[in-house]
Amino acid sequence: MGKSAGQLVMLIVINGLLLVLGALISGGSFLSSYNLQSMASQVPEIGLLAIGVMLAMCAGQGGIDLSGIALANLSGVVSAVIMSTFVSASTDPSAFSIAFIAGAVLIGLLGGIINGALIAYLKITPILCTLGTQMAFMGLAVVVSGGKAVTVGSPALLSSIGNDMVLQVPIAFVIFAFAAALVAALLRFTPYGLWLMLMGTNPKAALYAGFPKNGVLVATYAISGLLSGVAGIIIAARNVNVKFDYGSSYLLIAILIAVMAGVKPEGGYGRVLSVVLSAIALQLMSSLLNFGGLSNFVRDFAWGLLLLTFLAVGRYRIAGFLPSIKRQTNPSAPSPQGPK
Amino acid sequence: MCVPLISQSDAAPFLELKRIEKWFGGVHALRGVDLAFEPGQAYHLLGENGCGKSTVIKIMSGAIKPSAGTIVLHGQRFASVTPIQALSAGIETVYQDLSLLPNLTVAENVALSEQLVRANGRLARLFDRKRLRQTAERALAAAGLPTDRAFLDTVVSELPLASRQLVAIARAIATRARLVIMDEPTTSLTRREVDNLIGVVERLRSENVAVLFVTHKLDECYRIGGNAIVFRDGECVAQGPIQGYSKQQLAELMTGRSIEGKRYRSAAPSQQTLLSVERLEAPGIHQVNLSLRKGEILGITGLADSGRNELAMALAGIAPAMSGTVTLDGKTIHIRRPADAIAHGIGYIPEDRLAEGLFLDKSIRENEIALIISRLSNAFGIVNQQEGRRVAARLSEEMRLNTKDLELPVGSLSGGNQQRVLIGRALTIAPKLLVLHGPTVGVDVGSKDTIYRAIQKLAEAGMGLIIISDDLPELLQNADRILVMNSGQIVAEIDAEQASEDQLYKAILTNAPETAQ
Amino acid sequence: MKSLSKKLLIGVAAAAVSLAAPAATVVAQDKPVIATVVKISGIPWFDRMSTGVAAFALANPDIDASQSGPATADSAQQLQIVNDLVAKGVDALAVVPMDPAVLEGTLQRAIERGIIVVTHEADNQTNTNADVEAFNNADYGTALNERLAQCMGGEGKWTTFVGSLGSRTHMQWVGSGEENAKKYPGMALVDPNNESFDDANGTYEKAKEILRKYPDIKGFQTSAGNDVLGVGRAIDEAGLSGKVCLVGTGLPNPSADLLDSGAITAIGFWDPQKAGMAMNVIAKLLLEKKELTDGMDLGVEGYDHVSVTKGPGAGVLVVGNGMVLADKSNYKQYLF
Repeated sequence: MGKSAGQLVMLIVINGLLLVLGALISGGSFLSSYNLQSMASQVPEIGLLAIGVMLAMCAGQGGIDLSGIALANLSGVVSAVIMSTFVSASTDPSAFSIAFIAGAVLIGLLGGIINGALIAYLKITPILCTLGTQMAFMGLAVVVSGGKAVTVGSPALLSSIGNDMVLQVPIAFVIFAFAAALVAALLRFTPYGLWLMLMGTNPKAALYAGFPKNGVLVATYAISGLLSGVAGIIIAARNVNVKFDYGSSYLLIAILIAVMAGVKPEGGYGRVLSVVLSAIALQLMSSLLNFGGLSNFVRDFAWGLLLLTFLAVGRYRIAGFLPSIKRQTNPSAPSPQGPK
Repeated sequence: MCVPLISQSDAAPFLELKRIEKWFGGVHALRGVDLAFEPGQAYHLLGENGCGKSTVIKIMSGAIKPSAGTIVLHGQRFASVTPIQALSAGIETVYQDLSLLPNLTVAENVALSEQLVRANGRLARLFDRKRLRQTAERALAAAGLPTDRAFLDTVVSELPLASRQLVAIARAIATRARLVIMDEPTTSLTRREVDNLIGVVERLRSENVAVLFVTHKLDECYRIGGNAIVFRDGECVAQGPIQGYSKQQLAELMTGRSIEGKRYRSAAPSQQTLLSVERLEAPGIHQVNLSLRKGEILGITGLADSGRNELAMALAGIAPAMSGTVTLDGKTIHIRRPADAIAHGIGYIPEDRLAEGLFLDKSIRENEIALIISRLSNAFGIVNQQEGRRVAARLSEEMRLNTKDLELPVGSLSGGNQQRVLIGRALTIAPKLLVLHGPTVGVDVGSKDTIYRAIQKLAEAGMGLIIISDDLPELLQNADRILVMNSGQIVAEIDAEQASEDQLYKAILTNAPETAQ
Repeated sequence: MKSLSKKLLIGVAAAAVSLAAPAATVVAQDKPVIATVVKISGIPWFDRMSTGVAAFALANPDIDASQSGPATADSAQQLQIVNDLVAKGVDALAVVPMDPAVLEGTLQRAIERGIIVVTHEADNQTNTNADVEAFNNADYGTALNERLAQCMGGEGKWTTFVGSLGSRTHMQWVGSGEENAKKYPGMALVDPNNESFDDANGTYEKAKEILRKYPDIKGFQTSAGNDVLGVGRAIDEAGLSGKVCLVGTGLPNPSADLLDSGAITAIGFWDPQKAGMAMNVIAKLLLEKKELTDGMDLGVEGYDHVSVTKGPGAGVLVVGNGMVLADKSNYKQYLF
């Protein structure tokens, strides 16, 4: 579709522009390998959450996942607390790391399945459901951690995820890219992907066509939960400590990234590559402003401006390419509901 | 193209439509319509579903804007009118769904428009209750309804449908309309109420109010008299005093084909039973029994609330039956969800293709393979895109879609093509039974022909088909038998080859119980 | 349509460049850079600290000193800013951590990169060259509580407020306050450690709730800068000024009205301006490779005789004597 190619181009252009701008105001140090690596290692946490939000939105019917960061924190906290009772990070670093990673992933998956089940079977509106689970996850993390930060430590494997590079690219970013590629492949090549996008476009038609709607919904939120778990691992690896209330601002930022990536909040359309580029763009802009010593408030303003620009341009482009579609969905179209 | 009727009288037309066109996406709903309405005249807008009748009415009442053309109201030219402008000009519409406010009383519903129109769309000042009552009483009397306090204060949602229709008409009268448009006003009225309505219409005409009917009931049109305007495929194909046309002629003008003799059905069904339904029970249907043979085409019809829709949804698994037995090809099957129906080989073409069938923003190809997504995937869970493209291409070929680019969004196709996509899609599951719900509603004549031929070919190949429709000629031309439903039960079985449309029509109506007051 | 989108794109780019232009000058210099990063920008406490940083910059024209902070009370956001400054390659960081534990990883990377790290309000931070405290936190908490007990007459129900359960210093203050209250068997602690997240309005709502829940409550000990304002307002509105005691950390100017009305019994504070100056002075000393000795005078009021002891990590703990307790009678001496 012409629409998605256009958005992709726009995102690439924005990213390019930000890199150039950064280089200009910093006399080149913005593009130093240290900074590029530093920025690259800041993207994965929020990027993974944004992909989760994207999937939830694509499912349609008001799909969204507000519990991402809370689940990420919960995964880190619970996994750290439980695993450190069995394995010690200092005496058996690799075993601890593996146990921690497995634990975090499992908890993320479980949390996601809970979300999916509540939404699919109890038919709770996604925004209300994930708002509730967000508070539940955070509350559970407070209880398990006693309200304090939990030290995960720096056992070898985790430490290298947090700090090391492979071919000059931070390992955390590689993990993020890999996860994104996996999700993209899922959407492109599997029945799940087709079902998800069609369902988001027209849930009623999906029902009539016999799609396994509940299965798709649970899978969607489960994947989002899984990504949250991975985000929790990366947070732990980079910060050495995990805490129940880390990243509370990520909730809205993840949604911002998804919307800026052209994901349709009403469902049916979303592209992982766009989400990745969008996350990178927001990171670049944020770091750019920090480099320039500008107040954080300017950053919020700049993000808002970027989002509005993107949405405005997006509307015109869509109108330009596909006038027929916009009006075909007009309710007063000659639908077969004439006098009977 | 017909010429607008301007009579010899002095009364100039107060409403004219000149070269009105309307596009809905890729669909050319109105192709240059010229109409004129003079005071005191009666007009009957006739045509099949989807011919543009509803669209032209919505344009006249300001609900939608035309894509091109001019509206002339009392001599003033407009590119489009707002609802308030139309109301102020005296154009009142009683839509099929009545558009009453169910939680308000009779008096409020009747007089609200009048107050709105007088204040040009604003209800800023305090409500003048006394005036409300007076207006309501006057209008209700003219409509033949009671005018006592109790009735005025009755909440509209508590009234039976027939009374509500008359209240809606009373509302039109209250605003001292110049033109009252009535969309299918007599669907649920008893004979007595229909007579009453015709009396109301006469009174309106005597007060120089023009009336425009949109209806299928040709008998009533003849009783009322006036002018017939026949629409087909978005154009006016004939206009003139209704007495100058016979029913046959009107039907032919509406459908574009002659009814007699053109029967698509030629082959005979086999003797093997394909489907047997016993004592099926679901909300809206009671103890339904039917059977279908292989290669047989069964038509099912009835009024809107006769249970025919519920029967279709029960077979398709969308609104599963609560009890009863369904046997398909010798095996008893349970249809609890749409996926069950598909798995057992029951294909379903939904009634509302836009809301229930198609994924409008998605490509034609994706729509066509929607039912077989899991069948197209291999052991690793990867969908075979190649095969999907092949299947879609073959289907498009067979259903003769008028585009080769299958990546186009399906929303860009015309109604007829869209319907063909849905039928083609249903064939991907190699169904034994195909249930078509209103297969040619809003579909142009050319597409109808293609669809009927396709249906016949499928039957000849041994598939069993059930067509649920209120297009009586369609059923008479295509089916072997026709079942008539009423109040959730099957009340008549008619041999399609022998029957006439009149017979069928009577069968649908006569079994309707007298609606109580 | 395409030209419109191009125009908009150019517009955004132009806006971004014009925003960045003033910043461009800052970066292209060779002066050593000391970047102060606070918990959250835009609240009175850290606005006051920025005056200290500005004063330092004025007194040291050979150093580029500035302050920044996140717009929200989120440690992840503060982390981002610190990360970017580390990547930018500043010479020294002066950080008031929202949550010391969260910053450990990145501060370690900073030190590895050769950046001097000075912290404040984080005496458990391991990855820091020096942590500056205005006073011994235990002593301060005890002093606050003692003043509260005095007002309460050693009897009655009392409760505590903190910025968040993760605020190290706040938890220390209420912790030693609780210890002190044990001296008074008549004082009963109810619903301790209410989190305020530095939100004056939220604190006000919570205080109202507590006043409703315990109509006979007699005392509040608060921690975050805005807490005393929120609780004070609630007390004032309930008409309990002078009847319920409130002692907490707060700045004189914002607390003036409530001190006068008696809603606030006494405020405790240290001058964030001086703390900010002290952090930057220490950073400068460390940049110049000078040693921090016990008892040295930093040249900043309240830090003229600091104690320097070993910190939890490889760095030191620098404790000053800048505690102030003010009430209605003497707050006007302090003009901030």
